[in-house]
Amino acid sequence: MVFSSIPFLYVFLPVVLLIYFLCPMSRKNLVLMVSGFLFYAWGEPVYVLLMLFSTLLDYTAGRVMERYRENPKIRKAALLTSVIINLSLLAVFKYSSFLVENINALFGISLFNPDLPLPIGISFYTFQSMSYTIDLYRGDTKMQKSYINYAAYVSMFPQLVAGPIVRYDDVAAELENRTITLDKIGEGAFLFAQGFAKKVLLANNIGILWTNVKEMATAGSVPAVTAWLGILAFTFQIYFDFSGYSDMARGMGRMLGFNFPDNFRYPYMSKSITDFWRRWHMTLGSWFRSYVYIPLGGNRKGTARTIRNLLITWMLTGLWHGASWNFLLWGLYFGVLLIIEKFFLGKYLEKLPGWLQQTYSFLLVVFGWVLFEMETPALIGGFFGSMLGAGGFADKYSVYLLASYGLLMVLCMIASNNWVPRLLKKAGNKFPRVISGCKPVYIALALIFGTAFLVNSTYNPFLYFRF
Amino acid sequence: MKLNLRLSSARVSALIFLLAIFITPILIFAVPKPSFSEVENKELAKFPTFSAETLLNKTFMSGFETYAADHFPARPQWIELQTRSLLTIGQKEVNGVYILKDRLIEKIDEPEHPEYMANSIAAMSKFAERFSGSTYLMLVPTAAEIYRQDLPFGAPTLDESQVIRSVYDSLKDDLSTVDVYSSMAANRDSSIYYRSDHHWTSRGAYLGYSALSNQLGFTAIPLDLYDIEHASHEFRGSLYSKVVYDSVEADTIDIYSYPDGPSVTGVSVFNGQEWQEHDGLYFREYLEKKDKYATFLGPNQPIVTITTDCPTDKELIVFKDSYAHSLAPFLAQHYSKITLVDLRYLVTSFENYVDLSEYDQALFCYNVKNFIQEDYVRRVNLTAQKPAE
Repeated sequence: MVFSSIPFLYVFLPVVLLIYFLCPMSRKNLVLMVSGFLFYAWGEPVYVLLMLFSTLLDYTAGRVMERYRENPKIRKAALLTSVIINLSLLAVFKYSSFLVENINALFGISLFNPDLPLPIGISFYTFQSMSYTIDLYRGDTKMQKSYINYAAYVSMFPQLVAGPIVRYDDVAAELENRTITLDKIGEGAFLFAQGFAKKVLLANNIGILWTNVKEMATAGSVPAVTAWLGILAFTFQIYFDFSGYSDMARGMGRMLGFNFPDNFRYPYMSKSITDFWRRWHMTLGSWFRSYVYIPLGGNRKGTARTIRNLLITWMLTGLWHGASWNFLLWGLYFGVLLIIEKFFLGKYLEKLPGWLQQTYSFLLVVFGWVLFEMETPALIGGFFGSMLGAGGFADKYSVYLLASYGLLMVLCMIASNNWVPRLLKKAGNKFPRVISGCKPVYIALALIFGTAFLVNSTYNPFLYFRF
Repeated sequence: MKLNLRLSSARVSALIFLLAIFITPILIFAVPKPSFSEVENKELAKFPTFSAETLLNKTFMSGFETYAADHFPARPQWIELQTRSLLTIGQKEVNGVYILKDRLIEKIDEPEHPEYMANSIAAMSKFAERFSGSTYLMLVPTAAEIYRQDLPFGAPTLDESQVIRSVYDSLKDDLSTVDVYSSMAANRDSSIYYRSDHHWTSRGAYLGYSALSNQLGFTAIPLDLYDIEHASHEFRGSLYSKVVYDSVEADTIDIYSYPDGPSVTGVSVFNGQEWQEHDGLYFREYLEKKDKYATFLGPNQPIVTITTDCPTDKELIVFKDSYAHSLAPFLAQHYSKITLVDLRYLVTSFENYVDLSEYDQALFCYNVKNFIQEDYVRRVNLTAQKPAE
């Protein structure tokens, strides 16, 4: 079930919120757990068992570590069991057919390809669940005694299938005790409405443009204007879709009494690629930094090791987005750019005017989306060719696309910058009543227009089915 | 007071949000709605069956989602809001419909399955070979082709004249092809298509009829000898239903009658189970309903047989889509019997119900969109008495 759908917004959410609000605090986590499992089972009626298994495993590993806290061997064994089994689940369900295909192609053999359908959100919840056992082992967090509380954390529906990747320690205190107030519900409603508008009004509509262009570009070359419009459309689609999801998740978290970490901070305003990854899918970046890059030695063991660590981290980050070579390439692309910026380009970049830094960073990110969206080297090459004019400059259809989507594109550009919030903040200092009075109006409008686009929606994709 | 106001912004937000999500489900589930949407001209989804099987294969979930969307309160008004919003930000096409100042035009996509067309061509050749009489094909262009130059600049649309030409070229040795394209193009200013529906008007169908006359061997009755009855001025058709956009004028349903011609003695409709008799070619009860085009021989049915007192023993069988419904009244003046077969609605051979050897002529009559997007023409060669694949 996607958040931006009528069954979720007008059936699931009200029912769960009603029960949740009416229950005493002692039962609220149970409501979260049950609703989380139901939410997941709606999309994955079979794989919900996998999530049940995963939570039981990590919960037990936690208990074992605590029980034998004086015995480092057993603690280590418990951690390794948890990590290995979690990663194996990922390997089997997400990467096995990719591996088998490549092994078969490489050696000309035909190993059995299980070709399992990917359980939705598996990469999100296994990463969340692992953050608990690893942090516990390191002594960075405390054991959770109650299975219900633990399962409520992993299966909590707002962040279950598309992030943000909430670490156990982020919400450990709130799991035990939190307050729910009408004010928090209002703040949450605002965040939710903002995410809902981003996803339904901006992402879904601009996404149609990319869908059309991608189809044409997969069949042959397209004129440069069409190619640029298309990849810019995807650039905005993935941002508004993904950050819209995060906003909705954080908004619902707030309503439930949680504070989820921020996940996007105007990434397209970045002044370098290094900056971009501090603003894009921040919870994923910080997960990899804490559990891969730093354990590998980070930047503390000399230049060669730092470069190696960065490359490993970024290959894995790429692969996290999907089991396919182009995602690996996409990750490596950013790894290499980050290395270049770190050791060489960074200091020159800083001297450039701000708008030039932004242009540099934005263009590189847009080129990255080509790698992300086009699956084979031939398609990638073909698309870059089209962007450079191999398919001509423009045709009638480019004009049509520009006329149909130009205004939406401008709206997307404005919404991906912090211009409006900054203006509102300034105005808010002068006219606090007017500006705060606008929030409820904004919520109402977002719900009204968003609903209009959902009732008859023909295009409402879930982009993270490969994550 | 000042402090309180700032706080109340969040509270008002909360109340608005909670009211919206708590009241809407009541409107979806508790307020009874008809099972048929007149505005959208569609059957609303039924509540899905709840069982272990439907849960595991997720048909319950998808059924539930469709149910909730179909039973959403004031659904047409939401669609209208969507259409108006998209137009405001500069979109020219909404839900597969181009919105022009004076008409709605269905967007025709490139065929997704080019093999369908090849299948249909092969099936028609095979049919022509086994049929003792003569076989004809008439492909009718859609409004998107005839009004191509009125579409938004650069709007993608299928080259239907090219499709017609290539189909006709590959068939010319097997059967006779009928060109209606040129007269449709020449008469583009005479309301030959409805403004809000994907069908041709009676006037358009008349052009089809005159195009057929030369080849099928009858003389078309001149247009000015017809009495034209404006049966309804309030027709808002299938394209209107897709976008719920009423700034395009409603259409008129015209019924053409030729007082001196032969009269229809019987219309029998086979709905897949049984035959039903009707009084005439016009099902006037549909003039009061949403889908007024169904005034012409009703909604699509597997087989319709029209008998007349025309002093001839010539009989015609037509394999068709709904375009033929407004064409049939014109043809009825020249045949003692016309049978319309809609292969889309027959899973077994039509010959289980119709004796093909009675007929002198067979006509395949489709609009280009149905012809390229559907794969039913091949059913014309199913063997009688056996269920389909």
